[in-house]
Amino acid sequence: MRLTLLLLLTSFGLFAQEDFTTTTSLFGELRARQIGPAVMSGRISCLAVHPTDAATVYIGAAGGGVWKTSSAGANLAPIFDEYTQSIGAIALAPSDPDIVYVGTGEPWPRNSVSVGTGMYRSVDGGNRWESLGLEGTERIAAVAVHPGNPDIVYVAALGPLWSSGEERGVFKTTDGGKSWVKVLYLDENTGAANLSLDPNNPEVLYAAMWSFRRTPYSFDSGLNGKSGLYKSADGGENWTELRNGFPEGKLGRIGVAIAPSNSDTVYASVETGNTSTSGMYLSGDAGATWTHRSSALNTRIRPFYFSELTVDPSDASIVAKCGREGIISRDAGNRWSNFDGFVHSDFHAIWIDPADGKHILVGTDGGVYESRDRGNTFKMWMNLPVSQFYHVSVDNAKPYRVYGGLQDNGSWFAPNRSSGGISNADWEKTYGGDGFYSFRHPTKDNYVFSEFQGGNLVRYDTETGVAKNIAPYATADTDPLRFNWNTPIHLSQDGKRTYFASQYLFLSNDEGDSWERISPDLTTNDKSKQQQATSGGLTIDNSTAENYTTIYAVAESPIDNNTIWVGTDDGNLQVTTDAGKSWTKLNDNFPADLPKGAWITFVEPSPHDAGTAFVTFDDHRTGNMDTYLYKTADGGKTWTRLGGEDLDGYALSVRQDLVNPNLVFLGTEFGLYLSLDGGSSWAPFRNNLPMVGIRDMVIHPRESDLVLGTHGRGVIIIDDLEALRQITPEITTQKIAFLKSRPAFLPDPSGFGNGNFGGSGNYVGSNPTTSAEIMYYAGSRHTFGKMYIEVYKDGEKIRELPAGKSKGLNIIRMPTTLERPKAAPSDNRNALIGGSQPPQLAPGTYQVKLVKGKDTYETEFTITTDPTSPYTAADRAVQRKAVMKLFDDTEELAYIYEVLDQVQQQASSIKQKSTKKRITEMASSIKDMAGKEKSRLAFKGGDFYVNEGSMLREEMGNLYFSVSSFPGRPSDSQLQEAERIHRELVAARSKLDFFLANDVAKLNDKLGEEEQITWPAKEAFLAAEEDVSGM
Amino acid sequence: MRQLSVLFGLILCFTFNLNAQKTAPSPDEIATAYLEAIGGAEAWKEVKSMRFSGKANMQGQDFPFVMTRAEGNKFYQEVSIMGSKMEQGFNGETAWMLFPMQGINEKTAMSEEESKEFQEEEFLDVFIGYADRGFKLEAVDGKEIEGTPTYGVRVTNEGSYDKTYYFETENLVPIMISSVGKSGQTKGMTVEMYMSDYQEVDGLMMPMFMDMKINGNSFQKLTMTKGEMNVEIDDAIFELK
Repeated sequence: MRLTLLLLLTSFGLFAQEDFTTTTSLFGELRARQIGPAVMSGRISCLAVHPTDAATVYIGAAGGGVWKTSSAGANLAPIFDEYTQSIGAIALAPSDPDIVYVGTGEPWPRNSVSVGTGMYRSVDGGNRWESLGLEGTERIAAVAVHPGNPDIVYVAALGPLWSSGEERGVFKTTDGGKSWVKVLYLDENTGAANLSLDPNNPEVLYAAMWSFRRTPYSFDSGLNGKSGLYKSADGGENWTELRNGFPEGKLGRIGVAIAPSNSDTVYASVETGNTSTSGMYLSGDAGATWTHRSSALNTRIRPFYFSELTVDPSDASIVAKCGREGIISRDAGNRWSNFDGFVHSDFHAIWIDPADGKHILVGTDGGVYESRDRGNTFKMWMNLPVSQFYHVSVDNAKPYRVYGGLQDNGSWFAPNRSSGGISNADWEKTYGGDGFYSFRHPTKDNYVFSEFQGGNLVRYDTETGVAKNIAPYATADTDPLRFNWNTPIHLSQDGKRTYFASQYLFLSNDEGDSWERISPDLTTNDKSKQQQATSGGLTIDNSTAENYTTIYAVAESPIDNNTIWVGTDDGNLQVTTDAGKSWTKLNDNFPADLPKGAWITFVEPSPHDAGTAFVTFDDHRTGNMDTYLYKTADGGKTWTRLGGEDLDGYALSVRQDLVNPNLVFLGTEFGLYLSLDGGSSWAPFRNNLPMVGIRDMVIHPRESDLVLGTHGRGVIIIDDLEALRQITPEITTQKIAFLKSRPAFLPDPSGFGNGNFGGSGNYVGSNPTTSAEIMYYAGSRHTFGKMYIEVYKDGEKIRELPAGKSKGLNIIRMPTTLERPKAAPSDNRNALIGGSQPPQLAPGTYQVKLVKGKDTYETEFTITTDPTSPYTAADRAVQRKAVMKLFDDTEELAYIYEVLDQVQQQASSIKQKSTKKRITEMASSIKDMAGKEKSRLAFKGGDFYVNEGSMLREEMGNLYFSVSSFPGRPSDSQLQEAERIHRELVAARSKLDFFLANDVAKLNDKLGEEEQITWPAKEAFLAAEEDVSGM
Repeated sequence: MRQLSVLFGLILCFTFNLNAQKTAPSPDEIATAYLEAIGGAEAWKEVKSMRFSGKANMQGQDFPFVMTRAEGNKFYQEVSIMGSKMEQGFNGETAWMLFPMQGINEKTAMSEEESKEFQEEEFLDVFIGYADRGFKLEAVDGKEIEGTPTYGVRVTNEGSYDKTYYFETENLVPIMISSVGKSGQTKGMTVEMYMSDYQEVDGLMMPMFMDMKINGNSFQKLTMTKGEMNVEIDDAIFELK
């Protein structure tokens, strides 16, 4: 029988192994670290402000979620991280502003735009959210809430960008979003692009309907001619097209806004396809007739991106419009002036304070700005990290730096850790425009490669601050070069080979000063899809964003530098195994389930095997949002699709771990997925990582960090993949399994008074932990009985720590410091702060006991110093010895003080109680002597600020702080001062011992045993928990 | 034979769990099972006061504390912070604080909002006689918490009490309570309290470890090292004056 049970258990183990599935709980307490940047912020799609409290603002980012401030930007927090990060519109219910509606999916449909998943609502000011459906709308342009009833809401659904679809038009709910009625619908190609509700008569609505379509190679504003402006006067039941005053013919995108102070005044920016009739229109009769007021550039520029108007709520003749620049008119749209030129271009949202028309907020491609003078000057909110990275890379500096290029915000780099956190000032710009790939050369350290849109490659010199344009040109034997908007640059690991690609692949061996073409045209070269010069529909929009039939992904195998993979935007996957002499197109080998022509977004040649590669395909530009990830293990001859129902969002990037080939990372439009079994099963990683598009990622080979370039939340890092590397199917069959952790480096102190006083409103990205880590896998969640951790050094227990209780990965972080010394009280602030600094632990091996109920599990970890640190081990040893001596002295003094205090208190009590004169006198004398000695040793009675004295206690605390805050050799003066303090302390102890052995002993001789003065032994005093009475 | 019965026991447990997953028990059934598991409602009603000592861990540092609670939601605690003492109390109406390190040198009343938060820390478990005490239970979706499945029970009353308890499906004890902060720095934010290390204190089961998190970030871990029920208390400790 016993044998049977054993067999059962064993087979269960095997079964579990075969049955292994990657689950989110396996990632346990591993948390991502967001480092920003916010210095350049990112694209804002909408703003919503509390109707009566202008300090409460909701910000919708194009790809970075919803942010809220209750302090006019002093503090900003993301409040929508568990949901789709592409935001279209936000509206607060005027009658109950804690009710917040969010429509997802950005309505400014540029080539790189993300997608939404419908409507959401919060009834508690954005703390908790519920989905309200309309998932298929893809993008929502406007939300209007009835002024008196928070459950009546109108939604302008733009609908799918890349395909036709019926989930678009104007939707209405009367039950807070439980059910929706489509109240205005024209056809499957025409969506609602804007909505304006009359606050004075909420039955009246204006809706801008827009026919539009994007393909990978073109954009068409106007499309089938159904665009138009519509009005309803009965809460959306019936609609009339408004046309009187607009030119004949096809219309494009329209922005519409009613003046809240005068319901008859309505503004519309209208795209007509003609520069003289496009622009700003005004109606003075509630939409019945329209007058053309202006065709100034910014009233008609790029309508698909800028058709948003705002009327000053308190003055119907003041109207502002989004454009490349923000503009404002004070004469009802006739003459216009630009907003502050120091604001980032490309405006998408303008809010004018109903209580003060000079107070304006704007949202641009570069974040949120605030004006108090009606737009002449703006100040930027410097704490909104919604930057949209296209790509990311790292270098080998210590600490390593992170590089990347951003949507409309150039190319930047910063260290991944910095004193006090990674601040705005830590980021350095290498080039402007839209940024994409950016790399530091691994050996020529002053070179950073960056680019701007459409193949403009530069080599920036960080020494001189000057960039050299190094892009190749077309030659006699080539077609004109076609560069993707997001042109691939690839640097070989050793930095010797730089690749750059149009429809051809180019190689440079001299950092871009000369190029050799090493491929024929690797695309389909479909001429019908190379018409970007005429793209845009009614308004030509030729920005290189529609450049097509181009190379999009390039990767040299890290195992074999003759093997290079190339993926194109039109679906070709090509490989060479002879450094470009010959190329093989692999498309015929693809499985049938891969849509033809799907954009190849990423190729990851395996770091373990030259024949293995992972490839992501993205077909969303035809309206197909499925996740396509494939793997080959034979150089591209055969392909296996990885993942299925467990993945969501179109695929953007993939990496295989450098150490454990079964650990694979996939970035999709909806966040990061991990597989622990080579791609068979996947689970989302959501710990401090929002559902943001992951465009690129890289694993730092030295630090083992996974660095993510997100399109909306900047750079996010998962520090130290060591734990994930060790979570194997075998591990998950165990009850408790310790995982190896890397030796922890003792952190060097960051000194005193670092940082500046910039006030609130500046973003600071977090640094990686400096704690030692104890990591274990637990097979089940711990709920009953004790579970904690003890840490030992050389047999002595130095710490007790709370244990992690989760099923899956647990990471316990232990500060690499001792407990702070027990110190005598003081009213001197500096001495108190000084005494609160615990000394660092000694380098070496530490033993860990994990106690779980009756079981104990043991492991160990190592603490060491960074071998590249400028402070030598010898100097550190001197420092440590001095600190520990001051530590011991601090505790000795604490003991002396405690004994004096107890003696004083007991003597005082004896003095009061005793009726014998001799005893009263002796007790009184002892009380006074003890009190006097206490005052000589420590300063009490001050104000912790400017009334501070300095006695031995304070001198010791200050010196302790000075010595412990510098990791190298203390100065001779400090060592001498330590000696002096120690001598004084020894004298104080002698004095105490004499006092106890004489004065106190004499009094005790006269007292009964019960009445005698007592005091604790030093060991007991140090061992006791800090004094908390009551037990 | 013994092994066989163990095996059957295992199979039975397994079957029970499967069934449990199919149809979640009602909030009332959960409450009943939970109260049984922690020692029974009657035994809990006998408790008039309790005192716990332990340590609070914040940002890697330990702060010893002693906490006393009594009927009427009375509360008193002392925390030692770098040798300086911080005291907080609540007499059932007014919460106060004494915190010399922060310049609060005498007992000072806290805000009404803060007092209200103390008021909502029910001394008697809310699930005991919940209906008679005006609490309403509502089943909400359970979720995976720390890797284990749970049932959700939202508890509200006519006032502003609104906390969602997540009961581990396997043991039917709460392992996380989610609520929205009403005062101070957590105002308007969802605070999650994770509970474990359930142990017997004078015959009653109590979670002796609590981990407070906001957005997944732990800001305070409480480890109770000692607990006593029905201790003698001078009621003056709860008072502001």
